Amino acid sequence: MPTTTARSSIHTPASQGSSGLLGFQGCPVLGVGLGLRRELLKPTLAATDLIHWLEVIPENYMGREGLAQTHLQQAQERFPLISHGVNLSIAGPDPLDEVYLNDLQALFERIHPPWFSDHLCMTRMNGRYINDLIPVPRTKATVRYIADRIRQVQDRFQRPFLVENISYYLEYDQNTLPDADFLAAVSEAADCGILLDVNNIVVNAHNHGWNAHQYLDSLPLGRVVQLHVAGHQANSSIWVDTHGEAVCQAVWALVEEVLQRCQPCGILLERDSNFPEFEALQAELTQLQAVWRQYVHNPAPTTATETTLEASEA
Amino acid sequence: MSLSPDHTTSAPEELTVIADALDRLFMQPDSSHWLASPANWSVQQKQPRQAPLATIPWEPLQLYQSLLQATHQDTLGRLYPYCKQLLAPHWKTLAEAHRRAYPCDHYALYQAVREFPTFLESHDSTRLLLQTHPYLPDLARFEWLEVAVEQTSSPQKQTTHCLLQTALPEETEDWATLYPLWNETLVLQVLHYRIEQLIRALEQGMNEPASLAEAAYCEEPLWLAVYRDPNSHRARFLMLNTQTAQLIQLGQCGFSLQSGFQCLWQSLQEANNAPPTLSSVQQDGLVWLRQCLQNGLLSGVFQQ
Repeated sequence: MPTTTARSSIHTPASQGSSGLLGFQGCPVLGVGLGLRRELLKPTLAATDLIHWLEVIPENYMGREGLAQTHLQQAQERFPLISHGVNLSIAGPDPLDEVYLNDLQALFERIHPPWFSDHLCMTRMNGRYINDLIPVPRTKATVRYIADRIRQVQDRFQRPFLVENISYYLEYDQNTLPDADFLAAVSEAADCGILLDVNNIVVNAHNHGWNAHQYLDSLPLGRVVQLHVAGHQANSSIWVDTHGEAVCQAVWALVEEVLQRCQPCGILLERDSNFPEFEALQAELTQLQAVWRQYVHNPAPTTATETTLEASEA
Repeated sequence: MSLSPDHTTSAPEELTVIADALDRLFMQPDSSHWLASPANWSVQQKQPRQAPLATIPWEPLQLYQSLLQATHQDTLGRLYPYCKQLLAPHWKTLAEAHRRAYPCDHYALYQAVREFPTFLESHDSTRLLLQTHPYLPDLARFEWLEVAVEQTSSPQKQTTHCLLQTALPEETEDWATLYPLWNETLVLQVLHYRIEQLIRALEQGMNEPASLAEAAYCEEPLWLAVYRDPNSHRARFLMLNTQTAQLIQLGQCGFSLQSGFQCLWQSLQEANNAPPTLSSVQQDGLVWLRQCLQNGLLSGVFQQ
């Protein structure tokens, strides 16, 4: 059985709560979100009826001033913000980057995310950022190593950390654990949450020939705080997690299955390339709203405006 | 699974050996051809140095490499659009040579391309290009400065000056205790080519190297001020005469208006057979400073 006991030492800022409903480790229930992207900024800021919260890539705002900060402020005035990093390199061989951690801390002091997340992978090796999500060998030793680093960052930032399953395209000989067992073991050993990327499960199941439903069976689903929903490229033998296509039927079906089996605090649509007219994303967000309300027991809030008002009163 | 309580924070060996092998494969200049074909990889994967990846087939590794390359090309092209336009036939090759020559040491993706001007100026692969496009490093520097002043934190942030005046006093005796406060994002750059003219020519569709070189030619080095407009947050570019550039540098070194003008006057005396008077240098300088104030390059003056 999954362990869902809250860590009393981790502080969750009440000001980001939407409805008073709390999930794993006191994370507030936020509803349906969208990844904040420069290309979609204007319509995103206007869609407070469809979007309850935004996910920001902290590396796009850390250590920067000017327009980036203006955009962040505009977003913060309308939505609760969650930080979803790409370069923490939580599973990488290098020591955690102190410059990165300090800049992340400064960003958190500004946006007060109730939780933060990054990927179960390495992005930095020998002092160099590789700028892609590279899988690490799945062994008991790497589980211990990664769990220790997650505990370090949770202690440092005093808020829940979620680790996300990535799409991976190669298998190392050194792997001794299946992917789901690896994610489960890391989250249990670190006592952290899971950001479950449903698209990545579908992509990996195709590329590596495993069963998506059995994958879910192996996870401590009580730790799932957030879901990612996105599209992928399926026009070659290896499917690629591009976030540049519409969400496919297999992903929608698996989202419903996940929501029948666990109660996350938020679900988020990711779109990072090949941007369509915003109406196409609105249609996907509307569909997300529908499944969210169908399966999540306490789906509040109803609008981002309501969330922001409650946050300012808290 | 059970975990031993005496775990350590040092990376396990299986992780470090794989990371080293991937680093060698994806990031080093001398391995750029290793994944050029399945046959190339089959040779390389038998080498002892690639033992941790010995059983991994070419296709997934090549996919990762193409993803890294695509991200880098996209970033480089977004931040150096005019360099990309000029170098279109060579762009992919140059981007890959740059990616491996200057691996990214910063978490922010845009920082991965900050050394592109240096790369163009000094890398072996660009030597021939520089013969036909000698203005390339200046163009790249110009494009990078736009990004740098728009995005990065101010290195010389000054926020606590009291008595900041946004008008310049006419009476020069007041200048002894007044110090200029320049825009906190200001960067001064010397260019050897007229990059604004070059960009205009490129926008008009000119692509003949000789014509572009002619459009960009200038006899003497030019001073360029690049800074972030406090309202629009966009980069602004201002060509400066040498005296204004010197005055800015003196101000940045802590000289008051009076001592700055005196320094400038002395340097003009040494350089000219018929040097101007201090009073005329001050009057000219007042005109420049007012222009700088109007343009947001000078934020005001403060008393110390």
